[in-house]
Amino acid sequence: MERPEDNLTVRETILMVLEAAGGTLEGRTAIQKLCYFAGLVLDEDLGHRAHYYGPYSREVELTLANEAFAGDLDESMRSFYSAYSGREGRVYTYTLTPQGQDVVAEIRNAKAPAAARVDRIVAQLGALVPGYQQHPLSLAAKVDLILRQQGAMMADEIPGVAKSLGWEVSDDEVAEAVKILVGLGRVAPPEPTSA
Amino acid sequence: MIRIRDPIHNFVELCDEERAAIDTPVFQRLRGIRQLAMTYLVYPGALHTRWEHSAGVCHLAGRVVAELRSRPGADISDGDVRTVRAAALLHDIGHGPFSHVSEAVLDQRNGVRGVHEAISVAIMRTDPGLIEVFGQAGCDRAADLVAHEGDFATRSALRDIVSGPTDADKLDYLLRDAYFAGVAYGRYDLGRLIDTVTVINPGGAESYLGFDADGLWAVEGLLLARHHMHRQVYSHKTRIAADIMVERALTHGLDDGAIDPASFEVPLSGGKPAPSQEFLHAYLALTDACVMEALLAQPDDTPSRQLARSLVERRLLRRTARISLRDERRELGGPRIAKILDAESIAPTLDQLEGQIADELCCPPYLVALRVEDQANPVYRNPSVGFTDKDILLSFRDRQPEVIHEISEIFQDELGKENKYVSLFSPKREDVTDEKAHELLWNALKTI
Repeated sequence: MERPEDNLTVRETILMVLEAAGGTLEGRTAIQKLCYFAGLVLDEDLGHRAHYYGPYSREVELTLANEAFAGDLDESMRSFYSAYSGREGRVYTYTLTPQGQDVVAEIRNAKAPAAARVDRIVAQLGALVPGYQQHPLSLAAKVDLILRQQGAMMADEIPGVAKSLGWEVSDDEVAEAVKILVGLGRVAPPEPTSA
Repeated sequence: MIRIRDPIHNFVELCDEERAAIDTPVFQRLRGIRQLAMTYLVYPGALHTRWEHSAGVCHLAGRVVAELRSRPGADISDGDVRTVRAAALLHDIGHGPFSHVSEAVLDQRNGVRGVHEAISVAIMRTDPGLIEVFGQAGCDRAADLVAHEGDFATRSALRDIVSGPTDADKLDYLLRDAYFAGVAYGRYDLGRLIDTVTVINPGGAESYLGFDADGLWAVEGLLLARHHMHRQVYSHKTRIAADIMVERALTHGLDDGAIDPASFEVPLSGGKPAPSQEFLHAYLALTDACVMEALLAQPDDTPSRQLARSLVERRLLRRTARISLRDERRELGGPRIAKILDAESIAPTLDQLEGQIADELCCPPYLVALRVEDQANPVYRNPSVGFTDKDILLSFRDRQPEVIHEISEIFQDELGKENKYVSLFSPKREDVTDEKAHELLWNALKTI
C-alpha cells in the first residue's frame, strides 16, 4: 500500500507501458503481462496473482478501465472469428491519447529513473516478442510466476515444468518463452551442449 | 456430528471436531460481529453474524468438496476434506468489529493490505482452543490453505473452494445476506451449481475449481445474483453513509483512546502484517457491541461519541449530491477525471476538500465525506485472491477450458457501459438545498 514516492503507481505504470510500447497495445492480456514484467523491474506488487492465462491483476484491470473512462487512453474493440474455439472472439486495443501523453510527460519529469526502467523492460520485450503478442507474453509471464514460486530455474528445466503442469503448448512455444526469459535475464541460459 | 438449524441450508452438519471448534471462545466471538456491520439500519433484518456465515461456508465447502470427490478419478483424501472444511469454518475468524468496516481501518492505520486475513491466519496457527481441537498440524494446514502457503502456494481446486472466484464464502454470503436483508436478488441455483462443479486440471500441479459446460446458466445466475446484491444492498447509498460513519467513529475512537489503539496496531515483518500474541489479545477482546459501548462512553463533545450517538439514533449522513463523471466529462475535463479516479493520488487532498465543504456547511469535517462510486466496485475484497468472476472456468468435452467471460452471452465484456460518480455525503439540513449541495460538490471537484 505504501509505495516509495519516486516509484510509479499502477496508473502511472500502465501509461508508461503504453507509451514505451509505442502508444498503442492490442489486447488486455498483453497489457496485463507487460505490467507484470514492469512491476518486477519496479519492485512493486501491482496485484498480479496466478490466473488461468498467467499472472493477472484485478488492480491493473480496474485502473485500465478508469484510464479509458477518463480519456487518458482510447479503448476500442473488434470482433474476430476464432478458428481455435469456433466462435467469435474479441480483442481490445488501447491507445494513449494526447491527454495521456501529457501525463506521461509529467511522469518522465517527476520520476525519471522509474520511467526509464519501464522503458527498458518494454523495449526488451518488444525486441523479444515482436508486436507484443499476447500468447508468448502470457506463457513467459506464467513460467516466470512459477519460477518465482519454485525458486531459481535453469532454462533447460522450463520445458519439463510446462509439461508437468500440463500446459497445452508446443515445443516451439516453450522455446519462445525460454528465449524471452533468458533475454530478460530472468533465467540462466541453456548449458551449451558438448560435441 | 451435530446438525444445526439454518434458514439458508436447512441443516448445517458439523463433525465432532468442528462442533468443538465452534464452541471455542475465539469462534464464539463471531456471534458479536455482524456480517454486514450496521446495514440493519437500512435493511432491518440484516442482523446476522459472522458466526452463522462461517458455519454456512463450512457446510457449503463440504458439499462442494464431496461433489468433487464423487467424480471418477478424483484424488481427494479424508485429510483434504478435513482441511477444506476447517479452513472454510475459520476463514473469517480474524474479522474485527463491524466486519469489513474495520478491515478498511486496519489497512489504513497500518499502511498495508490484508491485515484481517493475516489476523485470521495467526489465530488459526496459535489459538490454544483451536489447536486442542484440530491439533497444531491440522491448524497449520488449514491456515496454509487460507494464506495460500505451504502445500497450497500453488493454485488448486481445493484452494479455490475456500478462496477463489466461486468460493464457498460467496456461495453462502449471497444467499444469507439476501435472506436476512429481505431481498430476493441474491438467489441463484445452488443445487445446480454444485451439481456441475468440476476440477479443471491441465494435468499437473495447478488446478482450478470450474464447472461443466452445462453449468453455464447456473454460473450466470450466481453472477447476476452478485451484481444485483451489489447494486441493491452492498452499494445502497444509506448503507454507504452508515459505513462511513462507523469507519470514522472507529478512527476517532482509536485516536481519542475510546478503543485501545494497540488493538488496531499490527506489528509488521518485512512490510507484511505479523500479528503478535499481545496484539491478538487486545484485538480479540473487540466486538461490535463493546466497541459501540466504549464510543458512547466518551465525553459528549468527542467526534467518536457524536458519531456513535448518531448511529444509535439513526441520524445518518445523507447522499446530498452526486455528480456523474460521464455526463460532466466535458466540463470537468479528462485530466481532472483521471485524477479523481486515481485513489492513490487523490487521497492526500480528500481531507482538504471535505474540510472546505464542512466550513461551508458549518459542520465538523468528520460529517462530510466524498466518495467515488463505481458500479463495478468489487464486493469481494480479499486481496490474496486478486481475481474476479472473469476467472471462472467452464469445462468442455471437445476443447480446452474457457473463461466464462468469453462464453457467456450476458457477461461478455462490453465497452462504454460504465459510469462513475462522485458523491457528497453530509448531514441533511433544511437550509442547504439540493442545488447548494451540488454546487459545493461541483466547486470541490473543480479545484482538483
